[in-house]
Amino acid sequence: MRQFLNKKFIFYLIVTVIIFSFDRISKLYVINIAETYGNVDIFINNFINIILIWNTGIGFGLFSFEQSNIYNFITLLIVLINFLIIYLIAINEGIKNYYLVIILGGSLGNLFDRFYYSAVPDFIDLNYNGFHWFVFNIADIFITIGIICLILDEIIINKKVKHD
Amino acid sequence: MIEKKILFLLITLLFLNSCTSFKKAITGEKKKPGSEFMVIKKKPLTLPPNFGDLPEPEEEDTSDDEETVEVKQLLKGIAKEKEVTTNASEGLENSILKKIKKN
Repeated sequence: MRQFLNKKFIFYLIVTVIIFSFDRISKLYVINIAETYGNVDIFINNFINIILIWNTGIGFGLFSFEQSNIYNFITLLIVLINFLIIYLIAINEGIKNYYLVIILGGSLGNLFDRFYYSAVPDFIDLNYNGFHWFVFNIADIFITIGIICLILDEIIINKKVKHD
Repeated sequence: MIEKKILFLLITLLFLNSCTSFKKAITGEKKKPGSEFMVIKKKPLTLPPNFGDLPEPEEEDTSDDEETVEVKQLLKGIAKEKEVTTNASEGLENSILKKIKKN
């Protein structure tokens, strides 16, 4: 435990802070453009555009209601999930922790916006031939990468156990 | 067991993620009519406390100025003079009428 607090904790903290800062800088950049010019609609190329949308719900625009009770309940759930991730980082060892730290960094980025703006700014619009994927932000990228890595890790471990 | 873990991870992804549909950006959200001017909540209409009471008759104002008193006296004098002249003219008429009746 002491070792965890000394070396690994500092390393995990640095990774989390870097991801959180990267997410914050990108969001602040887009929000500043929106405040200066009124709206954000930047064409980068045929596949990526920058467009600002505020999300009050959860992933894929679900539970985007104006009722504050539902919003507070979702925020409370996200806080609990973050505590669970921290607990899992503390008890686990190995490569899983890196995935969990990546998820934690992104999750704290979105959680900060939930408290500060009462909504999460999404601005990356991926599109191909008129088909638009869900608009997301940098924190979502890290969260998705972390979750996919954890799922793949579980599948690989399961296959190894079956082989043995 | 692995299915449960994957399901749990997917639910976690759903909650931690915050991606929104592009449709929301194009169409925009319907907003409730703003109440930015409604600073104080309107109170219900009520009758004033003394609404049912009838007004009491006021006492005559006796404290007149000197000028008004003088004007009133002058007006009274003029009125008396008029009465005297009218009485005199009435007496003359009556005497003439009596004389006519006698003839």
